Amino acid sequence: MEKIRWKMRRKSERIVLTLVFIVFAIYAVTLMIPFVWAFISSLKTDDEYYERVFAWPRDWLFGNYIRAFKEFTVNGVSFLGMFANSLWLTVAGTFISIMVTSMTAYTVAKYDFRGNKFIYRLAIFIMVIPIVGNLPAQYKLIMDLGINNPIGILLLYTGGFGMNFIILHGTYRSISWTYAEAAFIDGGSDWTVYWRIMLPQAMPSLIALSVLSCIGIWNDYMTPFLYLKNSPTLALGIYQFDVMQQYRSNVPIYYCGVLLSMLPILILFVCMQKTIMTNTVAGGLKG
Amino acid sequence: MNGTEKTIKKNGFTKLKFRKKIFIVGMLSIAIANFLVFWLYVNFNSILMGFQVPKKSGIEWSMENFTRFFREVKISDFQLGLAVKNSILLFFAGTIVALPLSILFSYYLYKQVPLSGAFRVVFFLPSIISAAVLVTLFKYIVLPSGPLNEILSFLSGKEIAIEWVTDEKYSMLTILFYTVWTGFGGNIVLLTGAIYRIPEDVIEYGKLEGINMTQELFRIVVPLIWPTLSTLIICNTAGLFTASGPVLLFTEGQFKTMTLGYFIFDKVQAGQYYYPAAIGLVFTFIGVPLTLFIKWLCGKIFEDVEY
Repeated sequence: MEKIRWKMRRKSERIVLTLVFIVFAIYAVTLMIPFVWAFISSLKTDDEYYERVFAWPRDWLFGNYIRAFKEFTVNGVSFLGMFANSLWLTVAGTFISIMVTSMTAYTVAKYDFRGNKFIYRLAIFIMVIPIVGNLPAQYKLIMDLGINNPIGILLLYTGGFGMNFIILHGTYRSISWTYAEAAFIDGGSDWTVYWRIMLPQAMPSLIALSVLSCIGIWNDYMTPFLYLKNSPTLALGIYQFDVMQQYRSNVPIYYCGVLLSMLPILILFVCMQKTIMTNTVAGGLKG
Repeated sequence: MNGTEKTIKKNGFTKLKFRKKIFIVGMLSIAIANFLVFWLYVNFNSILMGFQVPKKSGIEWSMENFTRFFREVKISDFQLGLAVKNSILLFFAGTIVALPLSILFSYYLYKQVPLSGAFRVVFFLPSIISAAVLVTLFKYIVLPSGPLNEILSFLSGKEIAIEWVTDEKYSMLTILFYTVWTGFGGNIVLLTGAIYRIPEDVIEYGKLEGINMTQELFRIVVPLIWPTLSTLIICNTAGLFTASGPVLLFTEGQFKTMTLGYFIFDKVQAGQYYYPAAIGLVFTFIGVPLTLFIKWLCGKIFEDVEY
């Protein structure tokens, strides 16, 4: 959409938009305050934090951030250890989940076979049907299989259905089959067509969904809480450290850890936000 | 064409067909295996577990879990009754309060309020930052001796030391506020995505007819983004009994903030599997028809449009 000049708008429109602007600004400020607050507090000493709540730090202790790397430990796992756990789960989990979903969506969208429609309906059915309380059964299964470790737990991410399936199904549907036909005539196999022709064309959607998946896994504290107690990720670490805080506290150091933990995902988001915003389109749930 | 050639051709074709089959099976196998194990088996077993009770002699089949459920759910001050009430409250906060606000937000972002690009990024922040981080920061701000009470004391001129998270009177309200406060981000991305896809001519045509912004919003935008909107509503309804909300991070279910999702989570943590499975079964029986009804209703309100 073209940018509309402010002066070209109707007067009533300008008044409404000004009011909306004020509301937006207030909401945006309330969203920013916790972070600004945490950042300023992270540079104080612990005593200062309690005594001078609203004041600027006396000395700006950027060294707190280095201390956080050493002192922010949970159950004997260091900050770097938790960082590595988060990174592993995020990268491997996202790769597996997006690859499997892409393969499933592509096959259902482009190949005509018996059961094709059934699979599509099943995908929607799984999404829409709320199964309450299958957690005990899932928990039991994972414990029985002994996959409650950073490698085994990746099996949880091999699901090919869900919202991403619906989005990618739409993406592959909209990609023309002409190139594929040309490749088949030249003797290309189904694999070649998928890898060389289709995947590259679906790349923008795949990247957008991957970034969203990374954000989701990085921030997920429930799965590590249940299954990865011995190799905590940062999201879990923050929660556990908060619980431990009640006993021995250094709040500024804690804030440093909290802020450091969100940095990677923030950077990823800032770099990729255009791709995410333009490529995540969810339509209706038909079928 | 002689006979040999025919066979070669035929064989070649079947070979090709066979290869295609292998390809299709190969591509779908992981997803189907995952579905069979982590969905079908898990849910099937979950149903069975609802009818099982661990006894000293081993697992016994019985209706005990269900009778216990119907006994406990009636006691309104008991965790379970509370959990149902709070889950419904959370659903209302997310769907009845946050969703309409998200539509308004998205619409005005689309109308290019000054700085709309920057706002869009800031509004999305709660969706990209871990709830563990956000809740922690939020909790420190609303501590009895924290900045919120300091500001309130300053404004009212008297000492205010409300325990926003640990006082039963306020704790659920605080969680509901937090849910709405952080609930816009994800919605806004999907909704603005949908609004930007509305063909320019449709909007232009409305303008030529002289409609104002409110009419544009309700007569053009909402009907045209309905498929996306109804998807969000349906997913929220489906999550009514499963979503635990940020309860683990806030209170671990204390101070009358128990939700159904967290109740089950908590029981599993405590090593109890069979009773929560039965509870789940009961709410699946309520949740499934409810979700299907909402899906049907959403289909009735506006025709799905393709453009």
